[in-house]
Amino acid sequence: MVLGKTVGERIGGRWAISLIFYVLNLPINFVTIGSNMSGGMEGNIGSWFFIWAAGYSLFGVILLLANFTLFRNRRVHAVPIAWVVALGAIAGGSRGALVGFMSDALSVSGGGPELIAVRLVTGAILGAIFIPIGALIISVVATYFTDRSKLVNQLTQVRVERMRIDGETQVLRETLLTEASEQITSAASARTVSHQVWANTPQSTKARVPWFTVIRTAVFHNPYPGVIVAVLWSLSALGSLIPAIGFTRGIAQVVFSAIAIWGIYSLASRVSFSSSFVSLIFFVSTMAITVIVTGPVASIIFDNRPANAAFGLIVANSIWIPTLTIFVSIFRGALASAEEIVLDLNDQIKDEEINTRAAGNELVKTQQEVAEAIHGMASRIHTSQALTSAAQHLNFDNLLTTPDTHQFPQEIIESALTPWTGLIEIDSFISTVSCDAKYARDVKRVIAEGIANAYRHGGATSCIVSVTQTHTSLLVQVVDNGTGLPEKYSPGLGSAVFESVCGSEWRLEGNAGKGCTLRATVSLEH
Amino acid sequence: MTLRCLVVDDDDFSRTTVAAAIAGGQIEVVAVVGTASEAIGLDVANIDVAVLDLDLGEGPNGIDLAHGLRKLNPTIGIVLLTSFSDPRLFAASVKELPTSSAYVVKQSLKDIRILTTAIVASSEISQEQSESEVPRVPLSDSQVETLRLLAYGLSNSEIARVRVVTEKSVEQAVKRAATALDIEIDPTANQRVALARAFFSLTGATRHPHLHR
Repeated sequence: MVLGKTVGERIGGRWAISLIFYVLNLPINFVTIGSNMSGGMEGNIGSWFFIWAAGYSLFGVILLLANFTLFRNRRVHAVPIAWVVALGAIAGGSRGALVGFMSDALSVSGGGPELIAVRLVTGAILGAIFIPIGALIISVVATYFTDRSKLVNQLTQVRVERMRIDGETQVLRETLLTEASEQITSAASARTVSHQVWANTPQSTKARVPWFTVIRTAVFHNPYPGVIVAVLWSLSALGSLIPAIGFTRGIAQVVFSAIAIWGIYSLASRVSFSSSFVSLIFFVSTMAITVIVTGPVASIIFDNRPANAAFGLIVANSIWIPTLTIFVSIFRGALASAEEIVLDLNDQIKDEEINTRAAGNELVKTQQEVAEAIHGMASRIHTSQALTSAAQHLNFDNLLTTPDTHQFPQEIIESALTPWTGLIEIDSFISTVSCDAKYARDVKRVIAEGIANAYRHGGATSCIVSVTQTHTSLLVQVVDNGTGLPEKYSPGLGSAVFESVCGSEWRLEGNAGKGCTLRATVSLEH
Repeated sequence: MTLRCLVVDDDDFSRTTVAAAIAGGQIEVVAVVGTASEAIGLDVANIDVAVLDLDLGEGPNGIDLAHGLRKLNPTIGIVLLTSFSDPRLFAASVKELPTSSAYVVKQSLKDIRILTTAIVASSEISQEQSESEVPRVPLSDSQVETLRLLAYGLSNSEIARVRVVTEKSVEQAVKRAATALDIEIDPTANQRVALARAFFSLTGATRHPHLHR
């Protein structure tokens, strides 16, 4: 499992996206082409470009075909990893073979069947490795981003709540309203002012995507995967070196470079720094040393071509080795310590970022509210006299208030009582209720209707409301001291409320002395 | 003599606007609140006229509050300011208005002076208790009720169930309401929709379509 998904789901569900990953290979390929040119190969850059483009097109076509045929349901059912590996091998192999075949046919490199074979095999191996790895890396990095922005949003919300509690939002509103109201002299100007306020509203601040931070954190969790980089680099280098300098020399140079990579990385991984800046410098230096050892140094020892011929390879290495290292690091981090990386990323979220975002979002919301309020005022006030006095006397405190919402069953039920405070005396006995908000709202409707009946039709001055919870239901009772039930009691709309909430489980009875009693049962199972 | 006036409206914008618009001249706005319980908690004995919205959201409505205020101050003037052309359109269970109250429909307020005049008048006649003049749409109580339930989308059989009457009498009520509201049978239009539209237009707004059922 990697961050809530299995490796299989990540690779099998996202393999198609790794085409992008493969395209990252472009610059290195160009450099390799350049190196081959300067290596004195026959042909011209146009032919090489054509070969290169054909190879990539074939690769893309195979992936697209797979996307729409055998693997089309991958979003529903993840494709098994083995299939993805096979697809990578087929795509990479066919590309390699095509490149080899075309080079041969166009005589841009002295090849033959063995060159085609080498390219086919290395291409297949690289495809088989990189398509699944690419899929995993992209999928996990995407999760890093989502996790981070989720947390940023949550923190922002918390901050916004705090701004509201601390009254910062209120101050902001008042400032905006005072500024705006000073400019209002007539209905027309109110409209203009509202449009101005609306137009001045800044764009809602979106969470900045900290690409560099995410990649850096993902890489530096495990920056020197020597063995894997050595193996992968060797595979990719064989395809270029063997045709360039011959089989024996090519193998020797690759083995030398692989051992060098492994050695340098092993040493480097023993050192650690507390400062991320120093780590970065150290990483860059390590890469530089590796590039020098595997480039110029290896060329001097093994390459029998003129010095300028090796130049292209050195340039290719200087891009390819760091790129490979970064990808493999992210891959290893994703597999081994994705949770830790997410924690690291979360630790790096700065208070400033949250504060800026919260303030920005509140400003946008408040400004829009103010604009709407002023616009509403402009269209609702008819006489200019009324408007002038409105602008002068408006009590802006009351203009914008957020309605409170009740969430807990107890709160929901009690909210039926508060509006009646003062009009009728209510004694409430509401036992601790734990149930779905839906039932609490049903109870609230029954109580509200019961109290309204007592006050309106019974002229009651006080009532007792009680709610008791049993295993299967909530028992509601409203007893009032009003005039009781009239002789001819007509089932009004109150009874429709009781009926719809409680079915037949309710009774309204006149009390012997005075007033009446409503008993209703809200079933917790309907 | 200035009139000490209270404004109660659950809508923030309306109450601030109304308060600002009526203030000045003979009228002094001494309190502006949004709920019945806040209004009842005030020093009601020292208020001359209360301008009340009929729809105060959940709980007591403007008429309930008017009765409560009268209990505390028997001479308080009551002005109900509402968009409902007839209080029965607001809810089935509304009480009669307290005596000598004024009922002002917002849509008829072409000039703010109509409201200020009503406020002044309600304070003067509150000495000699007279029946309140409340506008009535030309519909019986049961027709109003039927129309409301129809407007909220209930079928005739459902209306019959809720009102505990026969489906036949619901059909009758719908037919009579249509005649009373001049809604003719037109093959190109749905009569129920026309009735629902008429209902909502009489309530003045669809801002708070409370489903009182």
